[in-house]
Amino acid sequence: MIRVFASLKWRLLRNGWRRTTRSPLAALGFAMSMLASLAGATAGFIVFSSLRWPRADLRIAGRDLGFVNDPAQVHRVIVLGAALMVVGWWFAPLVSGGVDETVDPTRLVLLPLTRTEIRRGQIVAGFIGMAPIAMIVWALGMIVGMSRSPAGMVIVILGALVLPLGGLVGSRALATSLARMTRTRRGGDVAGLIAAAGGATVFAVLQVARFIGLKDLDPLVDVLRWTPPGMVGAALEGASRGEVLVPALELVPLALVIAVAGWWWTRQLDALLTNTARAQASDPIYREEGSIAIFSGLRRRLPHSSAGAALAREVVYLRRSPSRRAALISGSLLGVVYVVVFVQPLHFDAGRQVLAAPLAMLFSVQFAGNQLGVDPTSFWLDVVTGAPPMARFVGRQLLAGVTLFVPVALSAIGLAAWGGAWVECIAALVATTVMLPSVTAVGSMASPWLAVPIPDSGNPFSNRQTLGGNGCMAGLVGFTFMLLVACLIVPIELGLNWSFHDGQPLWTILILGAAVALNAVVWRTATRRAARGLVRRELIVLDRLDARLSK
Amino acid sequence: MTDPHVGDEQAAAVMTNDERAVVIRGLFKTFGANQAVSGVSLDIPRGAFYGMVGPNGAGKSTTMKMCTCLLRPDAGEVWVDGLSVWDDTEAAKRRFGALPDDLPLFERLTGAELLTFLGKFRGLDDGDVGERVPELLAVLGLTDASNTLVADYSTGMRKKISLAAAVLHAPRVLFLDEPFESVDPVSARAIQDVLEVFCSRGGTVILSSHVMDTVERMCDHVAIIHMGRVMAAGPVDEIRDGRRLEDVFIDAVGGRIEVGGQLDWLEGPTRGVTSA
Repeated sequence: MIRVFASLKWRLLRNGWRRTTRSPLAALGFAMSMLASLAGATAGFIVFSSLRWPRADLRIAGRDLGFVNDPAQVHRVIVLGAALMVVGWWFAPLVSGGVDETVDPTRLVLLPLTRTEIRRGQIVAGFIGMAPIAMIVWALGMIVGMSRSPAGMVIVILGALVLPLGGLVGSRALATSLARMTRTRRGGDVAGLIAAAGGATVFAVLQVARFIGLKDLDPLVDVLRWTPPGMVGAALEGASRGEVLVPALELVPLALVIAVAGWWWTRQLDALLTNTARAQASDPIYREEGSIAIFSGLRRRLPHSSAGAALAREVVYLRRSPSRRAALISGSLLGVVYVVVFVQPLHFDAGRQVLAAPLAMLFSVQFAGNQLGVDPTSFWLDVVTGAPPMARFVGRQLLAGVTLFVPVALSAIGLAAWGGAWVECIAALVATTVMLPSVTAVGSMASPWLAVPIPDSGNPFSNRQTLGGNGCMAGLVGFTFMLLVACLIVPIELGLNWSFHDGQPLWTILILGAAVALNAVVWRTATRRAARGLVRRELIVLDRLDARLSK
Repeated sequence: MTDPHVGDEQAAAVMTNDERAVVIRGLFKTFGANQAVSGVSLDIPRGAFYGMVGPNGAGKSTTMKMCTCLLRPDAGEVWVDGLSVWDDTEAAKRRFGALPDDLPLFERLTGAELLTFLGKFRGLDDGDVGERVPELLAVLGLTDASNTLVADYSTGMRKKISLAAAVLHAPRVLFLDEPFESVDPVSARAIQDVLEVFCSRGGTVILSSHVMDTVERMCDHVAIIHMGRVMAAGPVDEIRDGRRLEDVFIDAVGGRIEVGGQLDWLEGPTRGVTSA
């Protein structure tokens, strides 16, 4: 049975790659993902295996890693690496959104397989793929780097085995628990948020690590060293010095975590496989009598036109859709971290730090440039009902605008509170608010060409389409948008800041007036071009979002 | 007509009766405040083409799920081919096939690959898989799509590939939840032909539907389910008693909604959307 699981996983991956390479853009993204995985695996192997030698003057991607392997350096690298391997693996399948269909045990529920067979099969399948192979290469690097004494070699090999196993079993337990939560709408919301927040935290830590020296992470290393994966790292370190007893004991906590996670996984698996019904709705959502549903509550002030309905729908979805909330949380978290780590090495003063806040849009711009992929079903409805193309974009621009503004606001206010640059904070927020419609309209223009489906149900396993390479494509879109932000927002931000500081109210009015006029021109031109582009590419987009929707 | 309130002793006695393919006793299921299934008990004869009918939300799909190990009941028991589906789950799953309404498939396998892998998971040898898969694809009109990814299948094709997956291991009982919903007439006929062959070889088919014509035409037994209870069950002719099944059904589940003078606006001129 294990061979069947392995063969199934390989076939799923192969078919997914073939499907991805149909589109040149997706193929480019896929190729970049492959390169990134290869680079990550190689870099990890080099870093860990270099711990064997006392000095390794490594430079990776132009950065001096300063590997004078004194005991402190070995300690920090091995503890951080072990923790990253395990915790990163827990969240990776969740943020990859359905790439690994063998993760979802509900596809196996009608088969006469025991829970043990399913668990064994999923573990084997979990070791097949680009990311797992990269992790195995890391583990091999640890074996090479830390097998410095014959006595400790067994401990090193055991530790290098237990790390990926801990990552995989924990990942399966978490994924199965979240899949079970998605049986209810609220549970699905929570599961989506956990996946987004967990994934964003892992990536945020990686962002921070890129910009600061390893020594700066010593307080984090001191904490991680006493977590089960960190203790395995410390065990490898001890074993490399020839110790046996204490390192052997330090493997036990992660082994216990694997046992508990395995037990929890079995329980969740059983509950998931014997409760495949979605819980039925209980309370009605609307309590107002006599209102038109989508225009009830505060939304009744919106124009009762197709554009107003599109706006109202996005407001409703902002509240109810897990994918939108997940986008907001992960984009905000990553955006704030990015601004902080971006301005840190530039030694900006407090004011200029706050003025850099619009950079926080970086991790949310994929939702501005992919406005049609956020909810493929609503796009299908737009096509079926023949909604005016301009109206289709108005609501989506609102969603993109909120998703872009929140991280900027959090960054600006946070940095202003830290450094006291409140005038710059106001300049940054006003400039962003005034120019946001233009930024989102340019996003609309790009959307018919960059449409990529984003799962909407909150179920991390529900996406029917392959997402291979989309992460790299999102990165490319993000950096393109950064140029746009630099062109549209920064000049106005700087002008407003100058006029505030110099007490020039007339200039403030003039700059704002010019910004509003420029914004109106850019917004209208870009949205019209977006509408025209959409008319031409409507069916192509529909097919790309979900081939079955277009049939 | 089956008494839906048979006790446990009688159920045990029923278990020894070789004429019954499926025995359902006292099934209950609650979702929050909603009692979805409320004491369903049925005896389904071997070789029957058994229809389970009811309005939307009647509890048909929930009952089907509890019969196929997809949903654990709050109370009650189900035996398939003499095996308790909840005490002897793996063995029972070898005896039945199921076509649930909403179960996910492996989207990134082709139709042929999907059936091959399911056959291997069910322990079929390579010879059986190699023989059955092309034959099933052919009779269901999927040969041309055998190398197309399931993600690109239409609704009808998904139903047909799911049916192929359900019969691949030659089960004794088939549970089908709304097998003809959203299916074109050609695909529906292909599915119907496969089911008739299955029944003629001694298999038992249990299908849920709210299309009375389909049930009246295809089934020899029927159970009318409403608000989680069995309102009537038995041979179709006995239940109909000379009337149309649809009329019996409407009487059993309650009156119809009178449209009367409502929806007058349907006669009016077509109104365009307001532009942005």
